[in-house]
Amino acid sequence: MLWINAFFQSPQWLWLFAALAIPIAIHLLRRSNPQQIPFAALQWVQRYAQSRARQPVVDNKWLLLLRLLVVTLLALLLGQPLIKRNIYPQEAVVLVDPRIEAIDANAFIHRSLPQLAEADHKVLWLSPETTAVTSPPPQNIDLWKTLTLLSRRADLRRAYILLINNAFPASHRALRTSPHWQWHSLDKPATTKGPVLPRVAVMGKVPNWWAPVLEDWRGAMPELLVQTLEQEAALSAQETDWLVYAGPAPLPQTVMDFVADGGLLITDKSIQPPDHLDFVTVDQSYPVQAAPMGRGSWLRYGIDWHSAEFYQRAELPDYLWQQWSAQDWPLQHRNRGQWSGMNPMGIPVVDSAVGNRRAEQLQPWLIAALLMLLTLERLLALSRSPSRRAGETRHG
Amino acid sequence: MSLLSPKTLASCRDLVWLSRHIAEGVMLGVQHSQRRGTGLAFHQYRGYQAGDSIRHIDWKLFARSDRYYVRETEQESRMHVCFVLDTSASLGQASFVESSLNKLHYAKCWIASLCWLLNAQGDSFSLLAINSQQTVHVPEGQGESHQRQIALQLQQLNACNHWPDQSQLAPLWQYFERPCQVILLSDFFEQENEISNFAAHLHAAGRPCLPLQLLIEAEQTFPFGGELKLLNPEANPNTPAALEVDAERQRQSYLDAFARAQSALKARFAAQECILQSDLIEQPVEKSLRQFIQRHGRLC
Repeated sequence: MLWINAFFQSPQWLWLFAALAIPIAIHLLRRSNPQQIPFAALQWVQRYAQSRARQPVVDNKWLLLLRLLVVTLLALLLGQPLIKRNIYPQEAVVLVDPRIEAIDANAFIHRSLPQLAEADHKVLWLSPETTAVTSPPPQNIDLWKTLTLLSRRADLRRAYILLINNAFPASHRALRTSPHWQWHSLDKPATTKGPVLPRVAVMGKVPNWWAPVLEDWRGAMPELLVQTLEQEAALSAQETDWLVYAGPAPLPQTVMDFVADGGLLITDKSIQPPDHLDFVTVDQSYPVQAAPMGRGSWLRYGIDWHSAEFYQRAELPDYLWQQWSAQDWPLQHRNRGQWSGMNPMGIPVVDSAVGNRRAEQLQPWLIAALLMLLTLERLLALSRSPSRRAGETRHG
Repeated sequence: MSLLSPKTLASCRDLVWLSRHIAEGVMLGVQHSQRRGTGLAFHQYRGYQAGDSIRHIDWKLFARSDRYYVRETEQESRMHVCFVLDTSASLGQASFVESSLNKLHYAKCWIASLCWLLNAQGDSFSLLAINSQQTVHVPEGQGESHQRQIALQLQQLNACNHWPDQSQLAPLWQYFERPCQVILLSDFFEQENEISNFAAHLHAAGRPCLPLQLLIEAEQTFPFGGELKLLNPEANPNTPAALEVDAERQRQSYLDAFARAQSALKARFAAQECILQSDLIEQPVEKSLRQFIQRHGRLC
């Protein structure tokens, strides 16, 4: 019976109510086209003034009523899920972040969601198994995976989500949520942090365009720190993120160590790289290459940055900032998006994509009633058929 | 011998065979005297015609002349029976029990069978089939060949048009100049008593008329239900060509009106000392024939 339920029982069958028009149409058509019988003794049949086809009287009222009932019952039978959902709304469900204590969660529900406290509701742990909050909280829950999993559950489409208010870094994979979820946080939200800025250092004789570029950057980012290093020894990856090196070739060992520790080194073509480095072209339109060195990387321009060819560009500051920050992976990691209960993210899962609708058993009494009505309708229709009546005369 | 069912009657198209079969059923147990076939006194030879039995061909004459001649004998006729058959469109009314059987087919079988019986007792008989468009007349004659001719003519008749009006009836009176016994077969569905008036005229002229009314069962019971469109095969100014009826509502009024018309018709014939026999075509022909012969004892 399960496959029958899955296939037939769907709210779309409510369109079947439109089929109520079919018996009415058949009835009206048959009224306008009665059966024709040659009958020689017509002169003794009384002639009524008004043609019955124009009379607003409905013939065979019981038959029509039965047929309408049959169609209605069939539509009811097949469209049960929608009707049931309308009649019995789903039970309220609160999904609680396992890092929250059960007592705190219940207190929050009583305080902030009084409408739930009055009605019947379930409080479950936000975990793939959605165990009750009375059981021990599950450990090491991947919140993103769990939410994505639960967003496809039909019974949790309208759940209340209670999160602890830590900000969660956005994942590189899409988080999926239900558009009907109501998000709540246990604590007040913290002030949002601004973007993390790199610490820039300059070494050697900087080109002439550096000062205007720096000025432009500072206009947009006042907190940007730039230091000019006179001594190579002061350079460290812990203190500095980007190093613009315009000093003499070859590279000092301290600069090499800085890059290997995770810094970003920016030079032009005057600095020759060691042979073992494998440079990759970053931007086809601009002669710039990058190579990984230890935990950091080296961004090397293939032209002289003192030349006009390098700096005669309209958007030089923006361009350089994009190029350099795109190469700085740790900075990007620190600057990725954050989300929390107060600021939920994620791609909503539309209702039509939610599978596993709640299966309803076909109601036996409805089937029995339908069969009985069908039998009654057939009996009545056959007993009233004019041709049948005409053929009822006995032989011999 | 079992009686013929309506289905057998309707499906058999060989009227000669069928009428002989029916007639033999009716004559079962009747003593066949010497009157079977030909008479005693030689009358004349005549050329063979379609319908003549080959038993009547004079084979000796054939051997001499190389031609077929039929030997005709003189036989005294006791009676001349003239069958008048109404072939108007209403006679095409089919039975609702067996849709391939209609009143005209029943009448054909009935006449052909009675011809056999009349032939067996040496009576002469003629046929007059009339409607407003066509008149078919087979003149008086006797013998097996004459019976076959009548059967062939009957087989070609169709039900159409109306009962002939006065002007069309006028030339028909010549067929009744010689004394004869008229048997009138019709459904007697008349507008202004035109059929019973025709019978009354014959009666007044000393040609007694024995009426046989052919009906179907549905005309007596009106067994229909629901909404119907009844088509009149014989439309005229007084009755419409078609009528939409609610059968159940109008059943009683129809049955009353039909019963009144029937009793009036019977009363008119009773006044002429003729008993109207009404038969349902769903009944076996033999039964109707027996009843008819018993009722009119002077016939056979």
